[in-house]
Amino acid sequence: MILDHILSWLIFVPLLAAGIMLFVPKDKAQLFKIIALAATAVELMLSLVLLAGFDKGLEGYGASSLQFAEKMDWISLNIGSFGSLLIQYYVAVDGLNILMVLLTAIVMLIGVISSWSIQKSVKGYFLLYMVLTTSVVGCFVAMDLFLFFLFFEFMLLPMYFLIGIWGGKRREYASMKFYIYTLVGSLFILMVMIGLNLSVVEAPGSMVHTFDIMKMMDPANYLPDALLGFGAATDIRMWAFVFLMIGFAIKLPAVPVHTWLPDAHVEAPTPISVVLAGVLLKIGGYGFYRIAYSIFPEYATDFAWVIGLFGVLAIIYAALVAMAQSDLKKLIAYSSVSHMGFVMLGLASLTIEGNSGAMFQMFSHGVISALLFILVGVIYDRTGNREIGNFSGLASKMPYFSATVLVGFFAALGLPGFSGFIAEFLVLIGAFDAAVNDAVLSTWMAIAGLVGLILGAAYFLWALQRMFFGKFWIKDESWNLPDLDKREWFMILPLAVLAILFGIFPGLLLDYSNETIIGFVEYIQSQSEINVSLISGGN
Amino acid sequence: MNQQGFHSYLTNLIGEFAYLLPELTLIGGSLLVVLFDLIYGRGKQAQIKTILTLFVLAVTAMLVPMMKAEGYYLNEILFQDSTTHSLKYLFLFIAGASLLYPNSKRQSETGEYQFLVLMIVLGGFFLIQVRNLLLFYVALELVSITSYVLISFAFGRKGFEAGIKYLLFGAMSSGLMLYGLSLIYGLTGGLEISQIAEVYIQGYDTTWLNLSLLLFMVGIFFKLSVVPFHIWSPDVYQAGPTSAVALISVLPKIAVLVFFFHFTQSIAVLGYNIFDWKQVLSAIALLSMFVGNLSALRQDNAKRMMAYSSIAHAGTLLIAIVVGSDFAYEAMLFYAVVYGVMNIALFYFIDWMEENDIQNISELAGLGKQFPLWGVAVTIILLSLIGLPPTGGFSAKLLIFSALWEEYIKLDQAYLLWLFALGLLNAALSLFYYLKVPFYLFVKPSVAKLSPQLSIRRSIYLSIAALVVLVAFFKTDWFLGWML
Repeated sequence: MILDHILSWLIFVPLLAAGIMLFVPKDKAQLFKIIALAATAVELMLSLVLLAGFDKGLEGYGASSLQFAEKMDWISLNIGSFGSLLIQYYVAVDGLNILMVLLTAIVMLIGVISSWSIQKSVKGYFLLYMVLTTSVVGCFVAMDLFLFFLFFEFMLLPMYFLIGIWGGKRREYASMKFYIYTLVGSLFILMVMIGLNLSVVEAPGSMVHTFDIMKMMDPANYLPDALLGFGAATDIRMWAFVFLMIGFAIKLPAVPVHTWLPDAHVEAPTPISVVLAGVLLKIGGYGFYRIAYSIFPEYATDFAWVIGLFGVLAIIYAALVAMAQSDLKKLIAYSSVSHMGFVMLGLASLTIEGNSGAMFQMFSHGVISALLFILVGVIYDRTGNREIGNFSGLASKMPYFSATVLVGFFAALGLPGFSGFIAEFLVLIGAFDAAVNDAVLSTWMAIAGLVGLILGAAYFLWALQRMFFGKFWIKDESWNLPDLDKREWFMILPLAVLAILFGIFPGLLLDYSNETIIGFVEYIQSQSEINVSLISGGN
Repeated sequence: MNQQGFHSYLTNLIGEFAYLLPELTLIGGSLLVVLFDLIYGRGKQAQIKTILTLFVLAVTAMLVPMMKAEGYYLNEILFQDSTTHSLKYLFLFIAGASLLYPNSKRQSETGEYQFLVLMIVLGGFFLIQVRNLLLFYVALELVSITSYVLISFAFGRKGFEAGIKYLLFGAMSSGLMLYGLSLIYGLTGGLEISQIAEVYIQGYDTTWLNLSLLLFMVGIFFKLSVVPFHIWSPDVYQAGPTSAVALISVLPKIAVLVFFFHFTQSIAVLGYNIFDWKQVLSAIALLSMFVGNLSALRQDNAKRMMAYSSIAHAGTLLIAIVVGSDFAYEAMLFYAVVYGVMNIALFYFIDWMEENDIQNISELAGLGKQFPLWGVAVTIILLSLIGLPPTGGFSAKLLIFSALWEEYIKLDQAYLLWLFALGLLNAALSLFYYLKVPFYLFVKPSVAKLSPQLSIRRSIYLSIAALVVLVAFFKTDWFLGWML
């Protein structure tokens, strides 16, 4: 019974919790935390149930390989001569997004625990947090472009307030910058969405215009004279693909549109940084797969080199910038940009290894970056400061904390045995494979990715050495530095365990995405040939 | 025409007057309000006068569905269909809502105020029904002259200055428009808008026709306050009484827009023989959006900001005219309804600001925490003004831009694509200043200089408006079904 609508439950449980919170009096601060904790715990349980019921062996990519699908007509508009417009409530999972749902559930739960120390207007905070959870989950499981867009946009406002009200000194600037950047990105997506809707119908011959992503993947559903169809105006389809890539690249974020991220991270409170790095960035990567590549597969090969280039650019550039940071949180923010570059590189490779790696990287980075931001939060909570230069030899004063930082940094820099290693290793194999066998990428890109790994090791180890080793010294003697408390252990331990667990048994996760990734890569190859022939046939 | 024929013609004509029952009720009702004022003296019974006016509006609303003409009537001067009926409801609603602004007490003490509100509704009723240029002019003047006076109701130097400014600009543009109309009459010998198209068929030189159309459009642009005919609006918005500004920021614009749509439909028949007004309109639409949004960025005064915002919105609405398809008409009407609700609601918020002596957005700092429901409701309205989901503003923009895209596919003209891309970009621009309000409400710490009061009634009204805006997104089909 609950399994039939499990995705809807996943989406709406947090919203329900928000609804309950509305009626709780403001001064019961503890109660809000408990409701939020309960809601996210239910989310985690539901996502585990989802995982258990998920058929890992289902092959292929497309409407037939979707599981737990729920489909319902939502808005149907009759628009005169032009036919009608149908918006559906259509949610489903396959190998591309099931792990993202799990990741969201984990990170959101950890985020709530991390929010325990929030003092300022607790009611507003957790209300927004719950709304954010709903929109993130909704965004990952939506199979209707309109629904996706709705959740995508609806994420912005809670995030804006969460950074803007509970953030640091320059929070106003940072939250506005975040909002503007993402909104510009979503406008690119909106343009293509309108175009696609007017070009795609429910079935050949029908006049019902649809937002169904699965329908958009089949050239037969395109109106013959539509702008994004396969008629004469071929360039438009290419631009639509480029627009989508730009829109999602801003969210990812890729260099050179990444500049909002460091600001947002630095100003955001710890739990919001955790959520931002842990799940929000992944929506950009997921959008590449689900929307840009799936709907416009014929440009996957043409643009592979460019996308790979931007991936490598992000890996190297952000790693170099990270090295120059004096603020520990900013360093981690740039390392996020660098790691998300691997997602682009893996995607561009168009190989099964590369794409599995990219998917795995999204999950692994979600866990590891959440861990890192919590670790930064630990030191920030105690001192209100996180300048690397203000600390030295912390290992002697806070041994447990230092040990966990060691684990976190090693996981982040891709040490074998941690999940990050598997992900980046797979991406690099994919990149080499693509360079050697298909020649869609250049060999130097794979090598540059490898260099990025080394750079990553460099800045993490350097920061480690400066802050934790050597003689104990802190800038302000009055800083009190107790070691980790129970609540902090409660957040750090599960994340660290997950990073190690999936590093040793990557199959636990890869099994879920594998068949879909294979299907996805095959789909891109076969469908792009069909589409190309349709386009050249049209000319 | 023999005597028999003339007799039946006259009988028909008189019979068709029955279709004007709602309008006649408005006239009768407005006289009643003035009489009441005369008998009971000025400044007294303001409450009763408002209730009386609301009663007149309600009676009119009940009469609208009773007397329905489908198509042309009264010698093909007027036209009704289900859309005009829905628009009438909208106008009645807007007028009623503007009367309910608690802070407009001072205006409502003067009997003429309610009378003028009823007159502007009457003008609006005619504007959406006329298909005759002369009557259009008369209706437009009815609306305009009433607006000039309404704006002066703020009293004091500022109010009169704004009223005069408005009057001077308005008179100038009316003059230009009248000149254009005379030329059209001279060229065609007719005043029906459908007759204009016959000029070319009769083989006139189109230079004069172009000139007359251009002059006519200038008048329209002034009423819509689109760039470059917008300079009057910020001053007028700032100085006018809020309830009157709310009314004139919506009602005349929608009415003129609806007429303009039909007008452009009839000249569209002329095709490329006249100047390319679609390109001109596109340029004006883009200019309005950019100038409106960019100027609004720097405003701290809430009413000035809304003036620029309405310039930008008028630009967006012009897109529907450029497109000119049935789909665009529906999109425009939907946009108009949502925009009407949003504007009335936001001015209601501004009315509250003024009641508590707050002029500037920056003075709102921290008040959102004091009045959370109020703050959330206004945030929803603002999101809708930006055009973000899940609000009706988003659906409206989506429909208009979808219509534009469809037209682009059909015509394959590059300027339409520019209009599409730059028009959407403006949504991002507008984000900056609309978001300033929730930013100050919630993000900025309170300065605690003021201790504003908020009545429950206000919270309820604004929440209802916010709810309507949300429903307009989730149930767009209801609204569209109702409009058409």
